[in-house]
Amino acid sequence: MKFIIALIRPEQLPDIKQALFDSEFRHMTASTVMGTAPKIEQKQFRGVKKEISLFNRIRLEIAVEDSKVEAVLSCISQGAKESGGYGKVFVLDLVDVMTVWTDDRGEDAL
Amino acid sequence: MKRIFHYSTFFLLLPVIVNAGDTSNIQLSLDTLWVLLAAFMVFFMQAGFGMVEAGLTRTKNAVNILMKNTMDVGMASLGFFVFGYAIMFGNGNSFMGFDGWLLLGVESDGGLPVYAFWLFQAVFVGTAATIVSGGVAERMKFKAYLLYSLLISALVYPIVGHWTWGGGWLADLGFYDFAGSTVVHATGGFAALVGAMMLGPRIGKFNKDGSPNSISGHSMPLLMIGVIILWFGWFGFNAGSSLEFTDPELIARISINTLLAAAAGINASMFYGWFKFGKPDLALTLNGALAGLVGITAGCSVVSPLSAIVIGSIAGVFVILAVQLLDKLKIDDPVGAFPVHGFNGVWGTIAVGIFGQKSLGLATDGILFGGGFGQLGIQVLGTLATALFVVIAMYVVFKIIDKTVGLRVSREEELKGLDDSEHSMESYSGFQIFTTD
Repeated sequence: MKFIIALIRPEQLPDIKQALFDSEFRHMTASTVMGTAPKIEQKQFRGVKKEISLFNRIRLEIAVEDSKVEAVLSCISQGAKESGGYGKVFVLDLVDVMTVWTDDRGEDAL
Repeated sequence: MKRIFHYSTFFLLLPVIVNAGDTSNIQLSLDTLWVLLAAFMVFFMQAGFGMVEAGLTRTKNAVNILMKNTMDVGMASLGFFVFGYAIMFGNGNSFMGFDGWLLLGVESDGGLPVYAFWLFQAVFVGTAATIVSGGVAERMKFKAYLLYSLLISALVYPIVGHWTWGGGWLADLGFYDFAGSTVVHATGGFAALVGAMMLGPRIGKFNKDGSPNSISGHSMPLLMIGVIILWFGWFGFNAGSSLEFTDPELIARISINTLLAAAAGINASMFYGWFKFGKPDLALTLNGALAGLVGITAGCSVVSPLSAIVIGSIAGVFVILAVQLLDKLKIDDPVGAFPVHGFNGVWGTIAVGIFGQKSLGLATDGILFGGGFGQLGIQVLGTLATALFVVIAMYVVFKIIDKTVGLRVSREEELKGLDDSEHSMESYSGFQIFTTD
């Protein structure tokens, strides 16, 4: 089992979520986070400069069986490219899973 | 406390006391005081519109909608000063007026000071213009909006205003629109409809099979305070339209009708929505208040309080039906500008021909009071002619804007939110409360 963490821009969420849903991946968690980018951005507020180094981002978390990792990654990639092509994805080994409602463990709990 | 009241009363009545030499001066001072106070209240309705529209849109577009509302005041006031007043109230033909540009050569005729009259009319223009921002919210370019705002205030609104209030052809026919169900609200509502149709729906509003999604507004507290501010301002909007302080019965009747119609509107929309959707919905209920207010605006002076309740109740049901009709037609109106102002502007105007009473000042009784179909026919003709003109004129206006600066932001800008892409600004900087869904 693998745990996939995708860091994307907020405006990319609808496209990526749609691509995942279209391929029947319907379990995910999204949270609003802040992250750095390659460049520091200059913005203004009331005409005065302001440096922005942390930007609003979405952190998407998906747990899947090993056999489905490539499919999920290609959905994320496809959705992300429809909306600017930004993003970074981390794939981690997942040791165990438990569903509280059924007490299922491992792949049964995914 | 008593003393504070004493002094404040003194200052309030100062113009009256100074002019106490003869009674006509007292009358004129009271008229002026009344119209100016009402104008100030109508001006405050801009805060109401701003809060309603910010509340009903998403966090990422709040700065943009507030900016559009703010600039409506700027564009409407100057546009109406330079061009609008001359077209609406200048001497001309039955279609439009032609003199008084920049208010040059316009003088008071011994009655209400012309500046007081101008101010009262100018804040009405701002109201009509700002209705549209809700209908085209979350996707219209800011530059395009500025152009639209100037053109409706300087040209389109003044022309339809001239027809009814400036001695134009509808006034000659006996068309009755006391405070502007048609002139202000149907004009704004139909302009919003045209804008919403030409822009197309927001991304995500309709599924591929055509079924509608709801896109929730981000702040119900802002929506609620906005509606109450509008409701408060509406007492000035309707009662101030008497343009004089001579008939206490009239002003009192208008005020009670304004309260009762809106109260009936929230009851009707809440219960109807509850029955239809299973839960009492705050946003639809508050839309019902505005629907009742728009509905009573044309006839507030010539209907009884009981009639006002009936008019407001029907408006409260109509607003929900119109919201559903737009969803069925795949037209995306984020705040319900057309259901509230367009649909019920027409209803309120027609209602005069049904519920209006000769004993309260209308030329002939409405059909419920045995006056036949005469007034009703004129009301239907007037409101539909105005709506048709607005639709054609606004189609041309939006088309010109589309061909020059473009109407709609890009897909990426829309998804990112107009606050960031158009203004590079966040509405709630420091709060992590936004999503793009």
